[in-house]
Amino acid sequence: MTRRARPRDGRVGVPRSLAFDELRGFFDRVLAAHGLEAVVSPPSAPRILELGLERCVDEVCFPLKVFFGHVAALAEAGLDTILVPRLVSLAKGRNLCPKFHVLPDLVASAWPDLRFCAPYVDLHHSRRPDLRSHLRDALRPALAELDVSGPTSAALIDEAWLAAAERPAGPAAAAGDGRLRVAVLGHLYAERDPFLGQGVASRLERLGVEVVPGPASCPAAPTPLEEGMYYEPSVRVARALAAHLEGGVDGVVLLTYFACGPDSYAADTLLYRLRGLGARIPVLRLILDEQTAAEGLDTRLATFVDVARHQRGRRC
Amino acid sequence: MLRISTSQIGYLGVGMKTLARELGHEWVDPDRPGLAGLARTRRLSPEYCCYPFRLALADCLSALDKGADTIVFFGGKGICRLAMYQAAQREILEHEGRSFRAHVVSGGIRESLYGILRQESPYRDSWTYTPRTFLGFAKFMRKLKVIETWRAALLAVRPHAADQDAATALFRDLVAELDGTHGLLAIGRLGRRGARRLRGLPRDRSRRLPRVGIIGESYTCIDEFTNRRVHERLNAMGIEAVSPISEFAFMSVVTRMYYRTEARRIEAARRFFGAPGGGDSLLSAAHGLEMAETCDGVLHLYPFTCLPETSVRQVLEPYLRERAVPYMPLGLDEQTAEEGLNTRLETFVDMVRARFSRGGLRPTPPAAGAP
Repeated sequence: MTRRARPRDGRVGVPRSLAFDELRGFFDRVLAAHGLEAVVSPPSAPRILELGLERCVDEVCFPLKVFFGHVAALAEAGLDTILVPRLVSLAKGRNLCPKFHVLPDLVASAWPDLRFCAPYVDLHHSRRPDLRSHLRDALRPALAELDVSGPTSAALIDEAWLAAAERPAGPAAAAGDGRLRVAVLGHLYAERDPFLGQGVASRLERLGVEVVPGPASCPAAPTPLEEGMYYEPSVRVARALAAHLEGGVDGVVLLTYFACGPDSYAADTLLYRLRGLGARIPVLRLILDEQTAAEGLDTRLATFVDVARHQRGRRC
Repeated sequence: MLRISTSQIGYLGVGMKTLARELGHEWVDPDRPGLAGLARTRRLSPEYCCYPFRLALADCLSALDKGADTIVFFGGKGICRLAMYQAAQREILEHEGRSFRAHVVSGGIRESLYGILRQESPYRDSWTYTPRTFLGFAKFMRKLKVIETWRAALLAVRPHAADQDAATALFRDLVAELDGTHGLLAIGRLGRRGARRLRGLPRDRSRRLPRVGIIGESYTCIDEFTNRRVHERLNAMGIEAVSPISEFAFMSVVTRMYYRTEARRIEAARRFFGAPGGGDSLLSAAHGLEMAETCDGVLHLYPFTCLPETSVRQVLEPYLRERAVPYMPLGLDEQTAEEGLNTRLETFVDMVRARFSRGGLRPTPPAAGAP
């Protein structure tokens, strides 16, 4: 987007999906501080998926199809400008999945009449040492294109960052009620969006399991499990897995998506490495897409919980 | 001396063998298993990894079975999952109890390949080592260029040839002869002679045929086993196939040698992508742009679930639709059924013929606001 113009009615659409959910609090605040209203798309649902499937090519992953649905929902709501950041890297030495790199281009090809505001976020190649200062650089040209940039923009972006910052809490301590502890690990959006995560956490809870939070709440300490990995989600999962192994869990559910490039290798590499470490906990790898059936999911989870209980009994 | 091997991409091994030989190493040519032979790698591979991963793993296993002690992995840190191949493949091979030295070529690829080949080279301490590396790379790239020229000649001649099988057989014989030729001048002479022989094949020059541009992921476009000889199938249907992707183009991108043409193409694709979308996405989109202007249809080949190429599909489909250029994306893996493939190709060829009969390559002006 090169044209400088304020969005219609001062409203900017923000899709409630993928990594934007992670940074949404920050983006909302930045937009609000510049006098723009952030209109967030409705929560993911089957109708959103249907809308996405109308504009998206097949063979892409389930979360991307849902993302297209979120953009469609915002277009239906009459928004003419949508925030779709080009997220290349959020940490030094690590990349996000290639689909994030070209996401603004993909949606622009499907909606040629919409304007997409696409700040270029690439911390790895930036001279800035941290995400906060890099986002300041990345957002200013985008705000200029929205015709809202001003001399105070840098300060407003900083304020928004501080207000939205979340501190990782570390893996949750054992509740101590004797329930089976299972870690559910996957992409952050699988953890935060129940539609994308297919309710795996709540299904496990219904089976009497204590679900240990995934990568969103884990520390940033590097682990040997992540060697050779550079995709952000894979590294996060490896670190969460290492932290949970140390904290003591009875089983791990790895949530992956069909056709996800990073997952297809990282998940198997992690399993090989776990075996190499002699870890004796059951790991269930679930491959999800829009055709995943609830009954099939429940059956697999119930079987997994039985196995985890059995193995815990043998360890005790 | 290393007994060295790497995964095969088309006829890349023909060049690699010369390079290894020049530096005093032995090249181990992996045997490509048939579709049935891929069962072993399917068992070992991640559940939904892309097809080239399984093929590359099959090549590694075959090379190790044949006595290779060093495997060169092309990968390292990149933005396609190809860069993660080496980590996963090493885990798998070590888990299988295979003992070998793994070298990853990444980043400054030419330099890192020099470094690997220098190890245990009988010439490593000789003054001849550096000239040998230059000569080795020159022969390597010359061979790949010769294969590229021959393939282009074959694709242009074969659909018109009186005996298409003879044309294919001649091409294969020439490549086998090239495999055993190691002198720089001899390679050049053979290249010219081979091109003359291919162009001199008896053929019907009187009629023009529809032309299809083949674009997509390098591995799938170059490797005949992976793409199920789709070029040959199109030729047999009376279609000229044009493919800008070759072993030479692949290595020129990877090594940044003779890179100018590919760099120009990549620049053209920036109209679609504001950032590299991983793998061959930029080049693939650029080829799509070119083929839309010069061909009657575009066939897009990629491994099933290839992330970068699905991004290319997303941007290329509306572009080609607007220009009424027939376009067929074809995601391939070992489960691609023969009949299904033929049916899809026949349908696509019908569309291409229809466009050709309507006047073919009359360029359609792009609509306002089109990328």
